[in-house]
Amino acid sequence: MVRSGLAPFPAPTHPAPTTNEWPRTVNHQLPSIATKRLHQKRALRALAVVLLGVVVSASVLVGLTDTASASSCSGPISEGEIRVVLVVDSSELGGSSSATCLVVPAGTNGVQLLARRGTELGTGSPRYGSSGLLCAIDGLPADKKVCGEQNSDGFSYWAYFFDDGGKWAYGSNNPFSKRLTDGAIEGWRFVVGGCGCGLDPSPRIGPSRSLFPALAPALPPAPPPELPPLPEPPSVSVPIPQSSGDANLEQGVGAAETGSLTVTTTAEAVVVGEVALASSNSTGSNAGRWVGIAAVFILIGFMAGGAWVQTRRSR
Amino acid sequence: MGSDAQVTMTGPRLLHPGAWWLWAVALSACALRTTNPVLLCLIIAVSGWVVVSRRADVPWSRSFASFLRLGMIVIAVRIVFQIFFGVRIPGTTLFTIPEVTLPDWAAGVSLGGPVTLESLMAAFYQGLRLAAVLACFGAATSLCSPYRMLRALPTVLYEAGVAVTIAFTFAPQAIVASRQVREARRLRGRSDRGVRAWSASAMPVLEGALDRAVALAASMDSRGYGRRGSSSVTVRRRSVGLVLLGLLAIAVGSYGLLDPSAPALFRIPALGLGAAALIGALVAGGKSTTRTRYRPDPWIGPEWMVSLAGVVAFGSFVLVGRMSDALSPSTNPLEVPVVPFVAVIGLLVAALPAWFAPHPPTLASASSPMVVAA
Amino acid sequence: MIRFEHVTITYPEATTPTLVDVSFEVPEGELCLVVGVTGSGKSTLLRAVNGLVPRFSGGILAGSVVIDGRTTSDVAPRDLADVVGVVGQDPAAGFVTDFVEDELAYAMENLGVAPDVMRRRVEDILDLLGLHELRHRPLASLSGGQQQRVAIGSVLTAGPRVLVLDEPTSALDPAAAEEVLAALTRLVHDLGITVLIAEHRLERVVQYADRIVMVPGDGRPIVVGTPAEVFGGSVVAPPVVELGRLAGWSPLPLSVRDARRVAGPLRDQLASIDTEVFSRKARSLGDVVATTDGLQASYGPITALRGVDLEFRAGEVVALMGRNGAGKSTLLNHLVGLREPVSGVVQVMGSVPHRLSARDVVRVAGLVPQDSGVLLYHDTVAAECNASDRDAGLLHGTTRIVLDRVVPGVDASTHPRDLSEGQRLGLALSIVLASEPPLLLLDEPTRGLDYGAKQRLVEVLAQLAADGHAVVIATHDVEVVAAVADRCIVLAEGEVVADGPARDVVVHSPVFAPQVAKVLAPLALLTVNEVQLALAAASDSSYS
Repeated sequence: MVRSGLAPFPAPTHPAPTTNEWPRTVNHQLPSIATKRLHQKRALRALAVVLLGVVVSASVLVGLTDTASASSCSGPISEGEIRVVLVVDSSELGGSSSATCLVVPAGTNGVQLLARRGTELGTGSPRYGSSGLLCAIDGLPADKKVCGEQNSDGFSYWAYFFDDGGKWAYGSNNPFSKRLTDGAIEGWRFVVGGCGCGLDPSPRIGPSRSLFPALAPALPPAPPPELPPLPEPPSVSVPIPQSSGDANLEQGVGAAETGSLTVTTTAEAVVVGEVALASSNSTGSNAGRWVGIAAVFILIGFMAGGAWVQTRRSR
Repeated sequence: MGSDAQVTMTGPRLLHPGAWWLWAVALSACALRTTNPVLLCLIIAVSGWVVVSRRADVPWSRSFASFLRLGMIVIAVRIVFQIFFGVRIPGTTLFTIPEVTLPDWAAGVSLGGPVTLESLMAAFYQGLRLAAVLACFGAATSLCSPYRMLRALPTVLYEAGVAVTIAFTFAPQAIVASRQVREARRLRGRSDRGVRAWSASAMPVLEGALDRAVALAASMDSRGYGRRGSSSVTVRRRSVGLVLLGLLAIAVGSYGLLDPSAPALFRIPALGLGAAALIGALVAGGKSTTRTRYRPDPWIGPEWMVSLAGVVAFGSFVLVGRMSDALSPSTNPLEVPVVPFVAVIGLLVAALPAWFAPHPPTLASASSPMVVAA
Repeated sequence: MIRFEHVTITYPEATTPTLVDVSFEVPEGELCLVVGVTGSGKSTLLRAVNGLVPRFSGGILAGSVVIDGRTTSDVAPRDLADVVGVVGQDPAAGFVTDFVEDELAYAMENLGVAPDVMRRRVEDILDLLGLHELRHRPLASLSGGQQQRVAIGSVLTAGPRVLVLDEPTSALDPAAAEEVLAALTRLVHDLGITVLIAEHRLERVVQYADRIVMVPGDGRPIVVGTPAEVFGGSVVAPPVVELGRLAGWSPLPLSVRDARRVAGPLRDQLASIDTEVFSRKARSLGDVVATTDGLQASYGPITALRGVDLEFRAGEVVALMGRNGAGKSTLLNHLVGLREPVSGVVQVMGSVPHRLSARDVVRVAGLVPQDSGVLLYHDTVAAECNASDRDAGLLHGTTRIVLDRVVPGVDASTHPRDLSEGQRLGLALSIVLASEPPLLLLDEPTRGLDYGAKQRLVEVLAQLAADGHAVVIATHDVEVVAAVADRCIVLAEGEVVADGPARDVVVHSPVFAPQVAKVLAPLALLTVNEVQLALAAASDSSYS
């Protein structure tokens, strides 16, 4: 290989380097590859700690419920509270219809109302599916695996209605977002073979002012019922307006007793099927469950340790 | 061939990929049946244990850790979605996010509001279920060579399978290449951390991947890949037409099964027609390709046992599902999950392949000193 | 066996054809070497044998290529697989399977060979190429030479009559290259296979070649003939041939053995020369630029470097040699701060490189990695130069000036991936040089470079050392080491085996000695240039 001439390079702009003359200051940051792995490990550890915290607090908070309010439906209510009536018709499931008057904070939505009713009646909070669909009220239907079935006849589900000028209107919008005002009446009815639309039958108890206990000076005057009243049955003194599409009247109704100070709940009319209560587990079986969980996690710990040892050995 | 089977049964070899996939599919079917967090953690642990015990010393066997990391990301994303967009079922409120009221047409969606413990736990369970399915899938990809899976496919599907196999090898190579490119950034005086480093390394990595793909394609082409044999055009067109008809019929049949209002003709008969068409296409197409298989993986005792282990685990879950509802612990109200003994035993049976599956050939068993390619 | 008839190949979007009116014939059973500068069309020629050009790469092929009676315009590459086997430059990129045995059988599976025939052939190829101990190994765990042999085996199982290889030994250390070349010559001599090789390092291969095809590039006509005919008049030649031309030997020797037989008189003539004057110790060495003290490095459980103590001074060119996997790249990575040592201290200009920020480390040490393409990620050469100026805080255009000095004639609008190997290396080198680090490291820069580009590189490195940089180059190329290195360090299994002046380390080693040293042993002369100067000095002294 024969050398050929080459133009000289531009001279270096810094002086010839000697160790004690090197003027550049050294930046001791640590962005190197090794410390980046350290940051990754720290981030993963933090994530694991957060998840663990959620799990631990969950186990501590199991069983907590919110307290019921002190005011009752027939007595004076405080500022910021409203009275609403909730009708639940579970007759298709072997239950009955009932209307409950409740005092709730203003701005409660329909879902919270259901939960409050469950607390007050002691029937437990309603069961929801993972998508947010309401599966069961008062533990009906009892089968925990179904939630809103569909078969060749149509849908079987809990349909939602609200009071619209004295008659039921099918609630196709979200009960979660509907804010209740004083004097509102809500209804839920279990429909079998329905269409999932406004043609589905409404609760057998119609919405009327008479569902509210009498001592409620702030109630607006009741609108006249639109349907002709039926001949009075002997046991009840007040005519009950007929709801659309149903010939049989249920008798076990929260009575609109005039002048009575009783709370208009009919706990006895509700209980037909099984009731799922909130804390059905005794503390004894809870401890048993914790032992089972601990045993499995010890097993997992052994597996993880063994895997880690094997990885170190083979790498 | 009999003596061949005897020899391969005892020495180190790779298990038939179909056995590992059956086992992994059975485990993920178990995971899909339950939201019990304890059982899901056990599924993840079992899959990890089997992977670490029986993976071969090849580049694609290190992918399990990436799937675990992906699973944790899935859980985190699920929880974040629940916090912001979840359905506001009442419960024990932990904290409240300012609520945004949406107009009526978006009434099905809620934005903000009180975040309850029950909803977070439900989100965690569902995320954990997805993470368990990902772990099973990661176990299958770590244990099976993509190429051996490809060879086990019927010959008519071979060419479609090649594209999938090459896609499988793309991800680990891209990871290695992106690490090299980011290190090279440091050599040019730029930082190798942060978003800019990742985005700037995308183009060279993709270019490198394209070059490698072209080189691989040229190598395969030069070695005879894609030979047609002597089948005529009409035979090929017929098999392609049968495949399309079969896929269409299966799609229609699947829809019919899911929609109760569909006429009965669109359900089982459509599925049957689709299956028949596909089988016909496989048979007709199989005659036209001329590939042979070199020493196909045998399906003998260990393969049966591994598949059986997976099926036993799945069976135990079906049994528990019928007997109790421990597989779906309730989150509203929140309760301590029950650990069903039968399911735990089933999952421990699914961990047995870590012992009785054959050892993969390791560097120590190959009879030459290990060479370090630096 | 191979016949090219008036072949002209034009790539799509190219203004001029790559090959113009190429006609030659290679009879059966010959080893034919294709030589030429990078970018001259060697790869195009080789791929046209198979039909990959133009079917795979696009373009227009005029004329005809006939292989064993079959014309490539009639037959697709996949149907020629039982006649022609092609092995690319990077064998790892062409592997389809994971294990050695499966890779060997892949071609036969595609061709539909019966299973028992496949078994027999795989065993035969394992024996022929010496791979039987590796049969169950994963392909990723093989060394470069082993991978190359597996790639050759994978095309051989189809039973082709022609084998085409594109630079098979460029990535291999001398010993592995010898293994591959020995396997190829055995195929030619024992099986009568026709082998077509493209290679830059002619000194390794030319002694085995029966025929040379020289492709000058730029559309000039090719030159075909025996090695003696072709190299008699060409400028580009291996050192043994240049020595023969200098000494006036006829016929020109092609191998070290042939040259030694006729080199007796030359050796006697030079016997009295003191070869130490040719050492570059005359150049003054500056102060210490970098030190490693008890450096221990590892990848997981594998120890890559054990207790390495070295010192690098300004103004010297140090060659790092050793087989693949000995730790050369690891040492360079530690010197530039890409890796952190397990124990021991690395210091460059008084600071520890892996603790410096990226901006500071490039002012202290610069590394041109093995694949220089990973440094380049812009669309055009001009964009790369501008980005380099910005990163180093220099005047706009500085990098361009350096690039023009290192590799002249690079078009500023070319995409870096379209540059030739030498040009790409030059671009990477000028980017690293722009911030003028006192320690300059190059990892295998000579891969894929032809003799002209290597000569330019040698000159550039000598100039850099003269300017005060400390240059460390890790390489297998003994000729480059002989031409430019002052000092030579040999690594084996992570330890320093030899560290001393290049002349002392290299001359008597059977593996690392350049061809001139082997021919003129026991005289310690390394290059043809030195022989020329020695002859001049000897004639001067004979007059005086």
